[in-house]
Amino acid sequence: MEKGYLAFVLHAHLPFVRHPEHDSFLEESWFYEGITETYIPLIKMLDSLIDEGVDFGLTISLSPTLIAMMEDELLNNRYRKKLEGLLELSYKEIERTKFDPRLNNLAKMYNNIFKESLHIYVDKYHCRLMNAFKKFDASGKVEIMICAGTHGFLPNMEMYPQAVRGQVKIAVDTYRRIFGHSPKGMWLPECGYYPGLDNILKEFAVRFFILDTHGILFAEPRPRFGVYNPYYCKSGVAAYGRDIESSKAVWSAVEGYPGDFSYREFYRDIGYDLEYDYVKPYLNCGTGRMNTGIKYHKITGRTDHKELYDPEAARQTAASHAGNFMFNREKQIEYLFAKLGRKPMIIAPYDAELYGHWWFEGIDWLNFVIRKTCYDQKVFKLITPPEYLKKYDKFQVITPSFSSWGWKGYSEVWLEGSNDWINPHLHMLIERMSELANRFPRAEGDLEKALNHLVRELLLAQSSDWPFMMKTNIFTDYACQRVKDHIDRFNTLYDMIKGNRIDMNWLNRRMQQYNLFPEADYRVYKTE
Amino acid sequence: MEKRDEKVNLKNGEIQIEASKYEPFGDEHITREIKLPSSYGKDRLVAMVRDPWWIHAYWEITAQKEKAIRDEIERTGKHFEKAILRIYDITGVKDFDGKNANSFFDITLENMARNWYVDIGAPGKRLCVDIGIMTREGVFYLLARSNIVTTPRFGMSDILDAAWMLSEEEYWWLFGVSGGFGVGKSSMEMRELFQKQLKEWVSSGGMLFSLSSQMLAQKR
Repeated sequence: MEKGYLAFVLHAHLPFVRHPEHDSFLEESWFYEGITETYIPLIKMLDSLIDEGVDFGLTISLSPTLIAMMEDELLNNRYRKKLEGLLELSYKEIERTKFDPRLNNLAKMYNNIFKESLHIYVDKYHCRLMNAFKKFDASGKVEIMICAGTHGFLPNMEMYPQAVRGQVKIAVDTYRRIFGHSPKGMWLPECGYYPGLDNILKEFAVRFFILDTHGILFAEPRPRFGVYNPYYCKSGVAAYGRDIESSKAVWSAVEGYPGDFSYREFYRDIGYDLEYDYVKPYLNCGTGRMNTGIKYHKITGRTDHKELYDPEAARQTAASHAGNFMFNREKQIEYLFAKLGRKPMIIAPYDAELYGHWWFEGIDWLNFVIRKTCYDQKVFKLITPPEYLKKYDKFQVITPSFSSWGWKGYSEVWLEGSNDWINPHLHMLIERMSELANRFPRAEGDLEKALNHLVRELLLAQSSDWPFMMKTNIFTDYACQRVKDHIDRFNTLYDMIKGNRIDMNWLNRRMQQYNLFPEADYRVYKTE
Repeated sequence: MEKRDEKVNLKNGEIQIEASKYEPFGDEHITREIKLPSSYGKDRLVAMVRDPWWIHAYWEITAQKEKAIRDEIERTGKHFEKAILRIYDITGVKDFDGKNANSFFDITLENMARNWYVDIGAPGKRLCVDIGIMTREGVFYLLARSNIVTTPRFGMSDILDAAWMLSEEEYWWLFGVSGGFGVGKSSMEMRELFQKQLKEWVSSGGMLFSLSSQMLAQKR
């Protein structure tokens, strides 16, 4: 009989980036790279685990914006072309490297990866990756969580419960449309929680969420099992806390596995290394350089001199890191089991894009961990968070602490000098949204359409990605422009509605551009 | 990125807004100059929690409101001295009415400040903020009052759950292990380590628990 449980939770999210007005758009590459490097490899892994009948549980959180992009025809067509382009480039690379066997093997490796990706993407799932996730949802092995609307950092909206409701409702509605049933779990963007947030989750029948470690440790009253057990909030929603040890093993830049010298180097890419005219047709950014995803070097060491990547050696390292991870969890769980008085539950949440995209071998590692855990040991099992609630009759009731998993553990990443200018606008937008929702409780026709589109502009402006980019000074111009654009369009439409002169032409064009969230419903913003 | 710079240049010439299905806003979309309103014509003061020790407040006071208060100050023979933020500690106070706070302190606002980060000095407080004018005579005139915020406690709760009790020793052990300080240490060692870690976290502004956003930064 097992002595405890481990739950991997992979949170997949990208902000909604879709620019039909440009033939190619740099920031759309986040999505394309995510598909090739993380989502398809993850799907491939899950397919094989399920096909082979491996006994496992895995949790994946998908954000509604990512789902919207995965369901979008324009982006899917663009991605397909992009992938076909990469395949073409890899054939050219095989030709170019034919006199260098080691490099040539690497070129062939990428050629195989792209061929297989294209097969999975086009033939198997018909350019709709949600088809795969629907299948996983039905398998009983994979728990699919939804994430709040546009990944808004909810503690920054605490004073406007209707705004939090807006983020939660659109998420639940999106999930229902895709999966045909309600989500059990909701990923709180950046694990941002404030006491009372669970009441809103409860309104929408969400049953669990995940917190950073201190959200549980600093809870009131003192939590009896540390982070090694779920708890109930007074609302009846279950809260799980992140385990630090298993997090560090993967996240930490210093101690973590991804920094191993035999792993592939992220920053050496032929998009930068080869002659510009040669790679230009395969880039997505007009005149600049960017990553293609074809990378021939390994981390090698703390040096600029990078040696060629050896896939077999990297794979062996991944297997050995997986063994190490499993061994450490066995020891951790045996130790906790002996002292805790209950079977411990280890929650290990990560950004999905860490696997494959950042850590090229990450999916291999995960695959090894899952298989080894299933076949090579008996100390613990892989489960999903809700399964654990069936193991015991009683769980302690606590009020978790305000917390996030961002730098310093609270709101500072999303509330500081570089990005605090957005709040006076975002909050006023919420007030305006509620003002109109109160004034038009039963709108129909064009007015209803306009009010529901206001919701989209508001939600899109609220993505935590924008203040994050401002804070980290990455794509700052784009982030500022997006926030300003949504605020401005919101205000324009608000004025139109108030002046009873909605320009339907204008509105329809805007709705074609931001074509997500068909179930947007302004009524959730009513406060009277 | 260069691509969009090109578009900016184009914009200086003339922009042809393409009317095709997928070109709804043409080049104007991402490069257009957007000027957001500098105010929304509403008196308001909004308080937000940043972390256990700091809150953030921003405000907008309309010219009419300010004039009305200044007129009243003049009418009653008093004299404007400065604009201030008044931060009330209302922990445990029911129905705060501006007069029943446990304590308060003032911050003098410099000209044109529209927001402020306030160092509260201690975690776990319920707080409310006023913005107003202080007269030379020491009378405070309110311009706007904020929402109420509660900063989180920092550290283990003192409140125990009778149905789920452990000894103090055991709690420290548990927190140490949960805090990632390894296994196999005594609870006293854990206690020391944990308190040391918490202190370091505070003083360095570094992080004990959160490793992810740095990785995210690299990711993008």
